[in-house]
Amino acid sequence: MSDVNVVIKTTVRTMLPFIQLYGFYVLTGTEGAGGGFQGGVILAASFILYAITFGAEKGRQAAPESWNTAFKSFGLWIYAGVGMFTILYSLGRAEFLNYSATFLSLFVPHTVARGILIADVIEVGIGMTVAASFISLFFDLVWRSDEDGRS
Amino acid sequence: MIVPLDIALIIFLVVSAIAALFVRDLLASIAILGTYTFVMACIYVQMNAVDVGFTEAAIGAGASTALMVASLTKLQRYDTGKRKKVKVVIGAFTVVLLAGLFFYVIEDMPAFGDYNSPANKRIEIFEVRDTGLSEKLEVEKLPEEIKSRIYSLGYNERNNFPSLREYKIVWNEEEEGWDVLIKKNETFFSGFEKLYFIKKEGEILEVYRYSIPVRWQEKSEEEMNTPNMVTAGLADYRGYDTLGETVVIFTAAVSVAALLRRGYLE
Repeated sequence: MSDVNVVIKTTVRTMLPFIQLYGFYVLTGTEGAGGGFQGGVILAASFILYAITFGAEKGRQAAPESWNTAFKSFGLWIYAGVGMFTILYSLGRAEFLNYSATFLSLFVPHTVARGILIADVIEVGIGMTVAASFISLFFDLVWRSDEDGRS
Repeated sequence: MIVPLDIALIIFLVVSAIAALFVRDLLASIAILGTYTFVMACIYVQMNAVDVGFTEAAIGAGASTALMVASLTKLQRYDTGKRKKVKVVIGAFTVVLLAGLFFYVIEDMPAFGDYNSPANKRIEIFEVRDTGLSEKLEVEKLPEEIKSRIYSLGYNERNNFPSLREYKIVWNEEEEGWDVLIKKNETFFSGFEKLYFIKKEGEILEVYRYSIPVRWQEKSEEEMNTPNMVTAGLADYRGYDTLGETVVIFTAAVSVAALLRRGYLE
């Protein structure tokens, strides 16, 4: 895909950091509209845009499959891990995903701890899973079997 | 709500939906579907559902269009199949039937954005004759008849609803009825929550149960320190649900990888 117009290439190269910054801004989603799903999809869209413009192989280098696999499992692990942690912290009472029951409640009021956990842990975990899943979906669909990466 | 803009958006929506069906070039069809979802996002924002519109714009117009273009690389670009007349007739008949059903049902729906609709405010669960019950309510006691009636409807401790043993009764000035506040069993929010509403209409007492959005509207910012009510609700009140959604997306990616991936993993 080397015949892509230089205007498109320059525009994409200039826009990418802003798209990703916007994705990270949307990701927390507690002060404005948005959330983990939307932010993750915007982050994934930036990588997909890069892959469409510069070709699948260069895009593959920017978002390696090992990273995608790691991130999409790790995001889900964060979310379910918070649930597991709340059970452990409350000594086995049924407090699954009750965000007040963490050690953060020792330092700040438990309502504030809830807000912090939602914005900075849960939504980030959702965003990781969604972004990595959409990137790997895209690459699974565009990758031709005759140009596979095994040299 | 700006009515002319609404009408223009909906006409554009219908036109783009029909155009996407009849175009033979699949790439053009996908592009038209992208505009369709974008118009849909505009309609959602127009309805003040900013979060839904945002999701529609990001996932519908952004990601799924890219995914459909990506899947087109494995298919042929032009649709060369012939349409059978019988199928078209059956399809059109089904669509007309469904549209008719929608128009038949639509008059039973609450008005758009109605703050007082049962889904947003409260729903009537039963009525009792007022045989000295309202005097008891005025001295802030919940009559035994109403209590046992509520229990018999299934709102009891066996089904994990809060018990009616500890309660407060407060006169609600605006709605002209009694709010029944009930002590909750939750570990961290052990205060009183308003759950039932009793209104006197002539000789009859109407007992209502407040819907969940009331707690969202009144308490969510205070309970979890998050200004955006939608995010707070999705991540906290409906935490299981969102965990399930995340698992769905993860599973989709994993199953597509299992189906299509042919040895390029480094």
